[in-house]
Amino acid sequence: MSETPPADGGGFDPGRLRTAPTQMRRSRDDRYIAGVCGGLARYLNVDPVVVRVIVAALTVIGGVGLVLYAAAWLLAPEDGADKNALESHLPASPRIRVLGWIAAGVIAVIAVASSGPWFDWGWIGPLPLLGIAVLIWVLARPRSSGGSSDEPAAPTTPAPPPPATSAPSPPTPAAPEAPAPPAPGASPPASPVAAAESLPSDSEAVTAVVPTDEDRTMRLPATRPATAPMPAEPPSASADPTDSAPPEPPPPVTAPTAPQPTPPPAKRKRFDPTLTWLTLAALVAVIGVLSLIDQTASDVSGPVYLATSLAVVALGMLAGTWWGNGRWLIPIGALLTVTLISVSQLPVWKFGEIDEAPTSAADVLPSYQMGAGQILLDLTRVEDLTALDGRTIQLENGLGQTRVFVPEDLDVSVHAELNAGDVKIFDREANGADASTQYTDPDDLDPDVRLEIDGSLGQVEVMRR
Amino acid sequence: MKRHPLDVVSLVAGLIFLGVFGIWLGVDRGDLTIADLGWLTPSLLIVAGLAGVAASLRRR
Repeated sequence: MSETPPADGGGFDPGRLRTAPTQMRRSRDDRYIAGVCGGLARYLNVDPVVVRVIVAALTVIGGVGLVLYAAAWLLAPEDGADKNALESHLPASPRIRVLGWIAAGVIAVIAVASSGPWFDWGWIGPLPLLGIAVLIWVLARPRSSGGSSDEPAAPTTPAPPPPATSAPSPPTPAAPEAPAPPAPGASPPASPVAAAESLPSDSEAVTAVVPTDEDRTMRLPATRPATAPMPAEPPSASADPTDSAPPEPPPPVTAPTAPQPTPPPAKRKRFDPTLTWLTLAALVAVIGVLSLIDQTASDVSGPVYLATSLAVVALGMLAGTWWGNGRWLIPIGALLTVTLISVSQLPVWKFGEIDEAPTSAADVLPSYQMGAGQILLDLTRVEDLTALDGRTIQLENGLGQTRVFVPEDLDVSVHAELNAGDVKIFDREANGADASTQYTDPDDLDPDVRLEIDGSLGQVEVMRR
Repeated sequence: MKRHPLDVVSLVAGLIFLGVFGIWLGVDRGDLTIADLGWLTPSLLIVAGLAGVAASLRRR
């Protein structure tokens, strides 16, 4: 409690309580792409590896991680910048901020919900909506009250100092030096300082330029992971003397304060975690109870766990409407919602393989169900095919492959339906979204069986053998 | 935990999460079909959104 190290002491510190930064910022020194994961990890005080793994996993699953990463890139200001990438370009009124939040939330939820089977947009559906949500949020945000309101430079990267050619530079001793450094070995990192010091009069320029320099060299190792050791930094070293050559001070954005994050706004209240912990504790207890029921009384399936957890989180959030701060439950609730929606598409909570080759009609079940996995039903070994006459066999597989082998002397009428995938019944084929095929054997004296096959995603195949 | 002015974000998010749970429960119990989600999901969002709008207007 008593020790609250400064927010800018980057990285994961197991001893630190999750108090510090009140705003998520993109990290400048712990980054692979734009510092989003590093910044988020610092904000949550967790190991950056955890965040990166989660984002990578979400990216593999339908690209959600990519969208979130891009959104964070646009919306979170970088260390030292007081505005995010979009803010300064778009008009905004503080009055509609809350409405903007609501609109963005609603659209984001629609985006998530629309990935369900009842919208039929395929996986690309949520992406544009998420984009719209981000835009609305940005539009609705108040402009920060900082002086530089029209300065577009604040975003992702600080604007580079003006090149030597554009500056109306008087003849300085540094100018002829500029072309020389490109030979990497010959230019020690100290050279820019030396160049600056050699300026005859303008001492202000020296103090203003050097921090910028430091800033750039500090950033460099993180941006390009570990390829160049400290002494050999040709791009930086060669670029900096050129930059530092003009006596004109750099623009205000790259001012010496750049490495430190701006202090948090004063009116922001301290985070009171009581409600969040309370809810999470209740969640743990509820999961424990469900698990106990699962062990002793009746089976509790995965979706029940998820849905009950979601209900607990929802109640916690509703309590947070008036008491305490439950906003930290939002990501948990969102994750539970997304998972619940995906898991609900599975017909049963069962995973693995069904591989059946019944030898008598009595052994053929009326229905075969699999949550995710494989169903293989071989009817060719059934001895008393006539006993199958008039039967209906249902096969349901949420995610995976379903195959049925039908003997020559059995007439089948098949209806197969997939939300997305590949359906092949003898020589008829359908694929893509909403793949569905119907087939009926010509009527003759052979016994008739009806096959009803459906699933969410995967492959269906009915073959003669 | 002290009582504080109404927090719109928590209200809207809580309503949506509770609604998702309710819809899931309805479908799981068989009271609702998948087809019902077509109107239920938008309705949930409309209700939550309007509640948020009302709450935020009232706060001012």
